[in-house]
Amino acid sequence: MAASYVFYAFLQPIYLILLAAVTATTYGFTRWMENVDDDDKKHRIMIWGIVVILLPLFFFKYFNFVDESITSLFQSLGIGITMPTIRWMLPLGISYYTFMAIGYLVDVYNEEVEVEHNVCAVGLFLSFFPIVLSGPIERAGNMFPQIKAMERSKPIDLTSGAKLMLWGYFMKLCVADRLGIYIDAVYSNVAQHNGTSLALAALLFPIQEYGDLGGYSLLAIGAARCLGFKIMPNFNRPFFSTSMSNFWRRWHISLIKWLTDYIYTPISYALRSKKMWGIVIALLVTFLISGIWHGAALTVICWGLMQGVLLSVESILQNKRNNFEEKYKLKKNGLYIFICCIVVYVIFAFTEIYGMSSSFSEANLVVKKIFTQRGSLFMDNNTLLLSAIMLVILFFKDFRDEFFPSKLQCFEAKNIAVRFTSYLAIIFMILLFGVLDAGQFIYFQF
Amino acid sequence: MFMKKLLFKLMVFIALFVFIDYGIGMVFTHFCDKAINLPIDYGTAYLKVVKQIDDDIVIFGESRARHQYVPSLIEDALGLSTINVAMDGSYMSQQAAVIRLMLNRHIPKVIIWEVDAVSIMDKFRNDEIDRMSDLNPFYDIDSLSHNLVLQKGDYEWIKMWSRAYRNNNCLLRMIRVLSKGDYNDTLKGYWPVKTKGYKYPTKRDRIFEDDLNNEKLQLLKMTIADIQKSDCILIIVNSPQYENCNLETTFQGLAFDSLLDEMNVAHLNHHFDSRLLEDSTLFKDCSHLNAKGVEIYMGFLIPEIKQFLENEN
Repeated sequence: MAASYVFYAFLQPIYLILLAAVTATTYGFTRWMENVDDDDKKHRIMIWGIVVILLPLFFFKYFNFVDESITSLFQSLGIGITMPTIRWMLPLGISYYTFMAIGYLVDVYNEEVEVEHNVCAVGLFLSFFPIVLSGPIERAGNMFPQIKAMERSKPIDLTSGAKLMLWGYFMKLCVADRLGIYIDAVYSNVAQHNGTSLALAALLFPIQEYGDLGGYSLLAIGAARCLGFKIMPNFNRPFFSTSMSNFWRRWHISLIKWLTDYIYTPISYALRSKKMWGIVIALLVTFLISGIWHGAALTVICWGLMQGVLLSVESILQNKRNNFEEKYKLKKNGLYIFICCIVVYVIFAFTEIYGMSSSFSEANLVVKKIFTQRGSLFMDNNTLLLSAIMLVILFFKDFRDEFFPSKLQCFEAKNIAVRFTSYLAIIFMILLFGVLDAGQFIYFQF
Repeated sequence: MFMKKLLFKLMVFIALFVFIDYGIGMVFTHFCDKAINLPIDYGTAYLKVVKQIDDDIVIFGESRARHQYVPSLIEDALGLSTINVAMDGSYMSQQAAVIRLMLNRHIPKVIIWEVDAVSIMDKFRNDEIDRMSDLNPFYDIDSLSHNLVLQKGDYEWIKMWSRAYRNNNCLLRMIRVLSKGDYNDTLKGYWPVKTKGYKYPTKRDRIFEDDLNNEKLQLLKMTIADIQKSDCILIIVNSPQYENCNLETTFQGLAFDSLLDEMNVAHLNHHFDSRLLEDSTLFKDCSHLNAKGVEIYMGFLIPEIKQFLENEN
């Protein structure tokens, strides 16, 4: 815990107080709940605990957004009121450790985990340095047993962790940052680029995001593994999804699992009498919250709602789709699977235009240009060629893991020469072709 | 036991890494030796400046110099061999390091340097530091380049042990240069901008805040002093930009002008030249002239340079 706190203090010393305060609050409320027998009172304590834990997140991340929205609402009504704004930096990882703390509180209430009496264990859980900045959003049920059983990591942990980190670096530096050069060049000047270039940038953006957050998650999981901790995976080859629901079971798994357990399941259970409409409402609310979590902007909230709508439509049509697939025996048809993967990818890429744009007018301009303004492609030969090579490597690995997990092993090969060759190939790929001067990880802003 | 085995494997792995890394370094050295005899291009310009060129007039700067100064026109007018070694996106610190390295080997008669007060601002420091990797080839041979490269980060000195890291993102660039072969480089480093496929710009407004980086000011001062000490004539030029801006009246703008005055450096400032500023069809974008604009600009800049050199003599 001390090491995690020192790590955090190096980055944002002042906000260490906030992290400690959230830890103390979480610890206090769980201990309080433990000493109460009355269910209603326990429930009230949990609700108050959630509210108190959410306060800093609201204050730092959403205050200005709500404040500006109210101001513009007043202005549109002709009332000239200016609300105070906060000019403080967003505490690193606040969205992650807040959700982890809430998850722990709810798990204690549901008696799914026992209350942890050691405040240092709670402190380590919420501040664990590999995951505190960008997740995955871990669960108390997975972490506390590992914290209690903590011992020196074994050699196998070191090698497994190092392999995960190596692939994470490749995804981040060779895939995400390389694609980022092209995407940034196009999106930073939407007005100047034609629809063809914007369409390519929009299509590449999900892969960049996958490389970025997926790569960073692997770095975090690998670093934790080196210390002997097994952290939940965050991505599972999302671009081999044949439906949106399947996609969301493979993309940012820790967040979606959190939202499913603490938002979707309780709502759909409460609305079970409404049958399909209960599920639809639960999906919309869940992904609305997902949008809000991703960013304090209307475009991002709209992106979240789009995912909710798509999943709702898919749920409503699920039976018809199943019948269709069975009638024509499509479930194992390679071409059908391929087309479904492409359709899911394109739909997700389209919604991401709203997720990544700073305003509706910018997003609408991109969409309008994609459909109306064809032209020659903005080319950066070096970037596109290198991106293509890196994408082939990435998709080869994901394809193999998805369909032939036991064949063409590289990092896990039994032959040491193959293993060493693949490690060295990736290391030199990173050194020679990685974008080593890039800025921050995109997801740090969450 | 398992730990010992792991350590042994790790040692073998490190040995292999060092061996391959060294091999990669040798391959790049071989590529560089071949590429240096080819015309100026991305990735080879600075190598050529430091190791090969022997022209009378050398033009330094970033994209505004690369796309706006035509060596053949200068050669015809002045009768002195001229080369344009400016690179897109290059910063003053890099240019200063390369100028210093060149002066150790070759002293041209004239250096024309497109540099302005933006180069001594702190605002673009992070971008500038990122671009220091262009100086990697000189890391071991020059203390200024060495120190500038190390500004990239606290652990840069460790990373620089790797030859592969030093040549990060160079391979394709180098292959491109080599694949072009020894074409006839009549433009001598000048790269005309595309004349089709862009809209003429609308005049921009740029407001700079007072922002002076003293370290960069000192580096500029030191470089000017080095050039003057070597008996080379330095002419600082500023080409027209299609904008309204307050750069010259900012703290850094005043410091820049006062430095040039103090060191008695010729400054041909055409930033707001009315001969070009009223016509957007002469610009590719607000920072760069197009080919038509360059023709007009060269038309009055070259006589000014000629006049200045005659006065000097």
